[in-house]
Amino acid sequence: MKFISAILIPIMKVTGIPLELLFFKRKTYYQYRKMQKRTIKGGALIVSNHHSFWDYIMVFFLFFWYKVRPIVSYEIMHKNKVLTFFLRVVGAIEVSRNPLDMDYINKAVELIRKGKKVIIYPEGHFAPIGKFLPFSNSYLKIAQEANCPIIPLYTDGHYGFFKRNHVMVGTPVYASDFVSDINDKDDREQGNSRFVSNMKEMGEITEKRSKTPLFTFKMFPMDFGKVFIFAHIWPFIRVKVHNCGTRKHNTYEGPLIVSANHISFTDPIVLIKAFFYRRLHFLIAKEVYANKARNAGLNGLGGIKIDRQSFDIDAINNACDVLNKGRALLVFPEGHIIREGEIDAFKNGIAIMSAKTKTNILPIYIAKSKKWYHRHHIFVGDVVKYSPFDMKKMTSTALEVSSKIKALEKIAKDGGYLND
Amino acid sequence: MNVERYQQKIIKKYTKIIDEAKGTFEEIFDANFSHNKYPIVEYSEDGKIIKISYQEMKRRIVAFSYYLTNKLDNRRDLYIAINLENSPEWIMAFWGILMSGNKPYLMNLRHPDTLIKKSLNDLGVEYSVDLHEENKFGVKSVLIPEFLGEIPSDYKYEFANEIALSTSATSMEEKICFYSGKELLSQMTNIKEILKQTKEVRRTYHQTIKLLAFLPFYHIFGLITVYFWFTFFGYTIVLLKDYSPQTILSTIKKHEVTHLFAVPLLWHTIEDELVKQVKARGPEVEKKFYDGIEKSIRVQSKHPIIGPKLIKGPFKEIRSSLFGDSIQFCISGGSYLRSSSLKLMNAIGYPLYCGYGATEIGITSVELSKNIKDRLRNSVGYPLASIEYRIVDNVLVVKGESNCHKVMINGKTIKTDEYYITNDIVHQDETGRYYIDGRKSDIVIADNGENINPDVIEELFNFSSYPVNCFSILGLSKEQEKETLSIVIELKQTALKKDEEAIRSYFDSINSTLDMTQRIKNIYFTFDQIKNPAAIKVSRKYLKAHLDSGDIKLFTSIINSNEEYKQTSLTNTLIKIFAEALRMDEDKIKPDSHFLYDLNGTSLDYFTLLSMINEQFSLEIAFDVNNPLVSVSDFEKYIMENKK
Repeated sequence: MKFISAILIPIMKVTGIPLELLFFKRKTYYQYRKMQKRTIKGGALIVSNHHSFWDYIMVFFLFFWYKVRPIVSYEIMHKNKVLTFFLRVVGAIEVSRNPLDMDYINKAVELIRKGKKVIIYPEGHFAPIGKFLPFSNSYLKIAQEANCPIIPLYTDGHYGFFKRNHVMVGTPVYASDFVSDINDKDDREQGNSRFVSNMKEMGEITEKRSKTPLFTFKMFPMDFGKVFIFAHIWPFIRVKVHNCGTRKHNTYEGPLIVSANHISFTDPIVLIKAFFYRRLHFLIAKEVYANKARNAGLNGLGGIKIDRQSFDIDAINNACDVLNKGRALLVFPEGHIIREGEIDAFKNGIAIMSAKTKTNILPIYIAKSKKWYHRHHIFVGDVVKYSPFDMKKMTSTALEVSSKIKALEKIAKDGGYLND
Repeated sequence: MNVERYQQKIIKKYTKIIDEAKGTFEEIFDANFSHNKYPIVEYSEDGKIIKISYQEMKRRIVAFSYYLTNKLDNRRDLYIAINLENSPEWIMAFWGILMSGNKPYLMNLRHPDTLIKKSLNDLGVEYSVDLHEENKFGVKSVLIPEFLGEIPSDYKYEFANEIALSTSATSMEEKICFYSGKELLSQMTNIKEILKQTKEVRRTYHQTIKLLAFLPFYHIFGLITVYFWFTFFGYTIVLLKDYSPQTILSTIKKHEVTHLFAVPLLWHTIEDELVKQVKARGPEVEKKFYDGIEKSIRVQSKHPIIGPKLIKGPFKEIRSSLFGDSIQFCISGGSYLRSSSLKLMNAIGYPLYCGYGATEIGITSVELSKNIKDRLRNSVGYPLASIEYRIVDNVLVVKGESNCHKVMINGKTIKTDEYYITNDIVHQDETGRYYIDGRKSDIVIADNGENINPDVIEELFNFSSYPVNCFSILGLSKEQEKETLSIVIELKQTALKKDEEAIRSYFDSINSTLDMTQRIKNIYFTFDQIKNPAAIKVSRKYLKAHLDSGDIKLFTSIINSNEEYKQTSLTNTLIKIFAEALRMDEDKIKPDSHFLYDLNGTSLDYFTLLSMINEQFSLEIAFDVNNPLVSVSDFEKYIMENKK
């Protein structure tokens, strides 16, 4: 079977490419692209949610360069001769009908230890689209025994000629991240539920990102405007980004609140240039919307009108919509421009939006340059993680952002980037 | 920039800082936290990697020091205990206390509560820094708040210049050592020498250096080697969630840890597990494995540069089941390391070096030879730059600027002498390398007057295939007679008479190969714990004290010790294991209850049960489709029939 498998798998993969392109039209996302691409070094256990038999075919093409062995039930393995042959070719591990026979765990562990890749569908049955069934926690046992990474894989299950499949490959995790003692039943259950919530979170992010296509007519004015404007002012707006956090500013994907101090009218332009690779929406005071032409221009560029005099619930909802669609939102939490002096107190709106949309906040300090055409230095810190929605905690989140921006200000001052 | 060039630049910069520093904690702090964007710590939380940069940590430290200053009403020069395990909060508390003008007391959390209370009382500690809940040691708690608050721009701080450190948990004595900034800086001067002497310590993986915080920061080995030596140059510390073997292995792989500093217990456990696994795969694989080790040593000693790279391939499977490929440099310290463990680790491609130190003198030497043959001699190398060694009556005496300036023993503060007597028996070879032969108090004098080191004999025994928790070889005397070399073996509760016979025959087979003077005269068994639960190794002093007090009872045979031993003890043990696997009360489990139908167990619970029983009884029970074992009585019958 090894010989047949070595010949047949490449043939099936190459000849199946047109099917993959037409039937799956797969769009792959990564939880953290830098850490997880489709290259898997050594043995690994892929854990995926399960919607249909096509899930495995999708994985067959997703990890194109690897032979991924599925763990399948006795019933599926012996459904018909063609399926049995196919599953044997791909090296499927059979789960016995006897409930006490857990030999498949030993087989999977042995294969993983030899550097093979195994996929398991812990739900055991096909779940309806958009839903999860309870996960059996045997995958934790396999991963723990084999001391291998678990690669979470989320698929939305949209397969068909007129549908598009969205898949997210998660960052590798280890069983010990979720369970301390694998033999402890309660600990195992808790670990399993934490892993499932991680999968659900991946599902939510995939859904958000799938709503952000690369090109839409609605976004055309924003993209065109950005390119058109910057074609003219590019040489004059020079930006130097100092990444003071543990991650580079241009590695963040998905929804993000960019929070900065506000020193000048040019701040949005400076930040748009710094985050040029992303569609950056920003909140603009009602007063700036003076006439119809300007309204259209600002809206087209991604502006969201906000009335600072009253609690503008519509503006907050619009901003949350933007974040729910997986885009980035620029906010100046001070609420007004402060050209000189200390950073003002931050408004809580930023924390509310972060909590409601489960979005992290990226603190940024913009150092004041002497002239508008001088180089702009911006300092990027570590993200402030969103906290669950609780009105008592909102102030502390806003204070934490403010405190981080002040720490960045100190770095700017120590580095001699501030003009006194 | 090229990593090598970058490292040289950074080392040059920071060694200059060390040379020019006067010896205050402020200088160390400023140098330590001048690496802005690099992560100081990283750890996993629900599968996600969390990183905290040096600049963020600095912000938290300043905020905490301000919070502490307010909390203590500007009181200064107090000893404040840190009641935290390795965590970002520990670093924050350590520097925050110093910055507030107070002195941190790094109390050893592995000490028993009574000893901790006594040392806190003797040191006059009023406050301790706690994380989530108030401490149980009778001192006021300063809980670290979730949000530390704003730091006013006019906040001025002045550092204290002393830290207090309790000794390791092995001795269980109250001993606190005091270090000033200058002494700690001398410790850091030593890293300069190490970096000069060897390039191995600077080896990176994916252009980074990451250290696993396996050793607690309140231990001198952890504080100096893991925290101070490496954070000073901007490297990253990887924190562990817990100390279970699986967590350690997966954390190393996930975070791509490059440097691992640990106590011999870790290396011994790895060796025992590996040997067990290899044995289980048959004599052919075992022979191949040991041949491979010998060949690997030969290749590495002949080709010190290419050799370590060449041997990675043949040991790929073993390496992937252990730490993976990222580990570049390991140090063992704290107690005697078995030569077999040292050989095994080096042979499979994890360069392991031996070091030496003590709480009173810090880290004083480490073997840094590139040549594998030098490493395998189990030497601790040459004394570091700030250290001078002398041997007086075979005992090592240490002089150095980095020794602590005072010690508190049982409430009495004593100023330390210029020379510190370590009470470790050492010898020096022709190349000037030092070798630790054992503790002076552990040495047993043979009938012919020869000094026998029990550590050397201990390393010849490996009881991992038997139901033995741990063992110790020491000199024991009967009714004021002369001490004779004896072995005390702590058996698992499930050990049977048959096991005892197997252990005896194994023991005799090894003992008979020893010289007459080195042979162990008495063999004792016990079911009582011979190791302090908080300690990482068996302390002979602790064992002797508990033998004298009668807390540990020895016997020469299982039957003698347990005359009323009945079949029921096995049944009870099995019921306990069933209850643990099912998370159920023991009363509900009857000997004939069916695992699936009566006890509602799942298939995974059954798998867990099998592995627990295999572990407990040192058996290999595989699932048999035709005759599945499903009840306590089934297992009982099987164990009685199949036990060696």
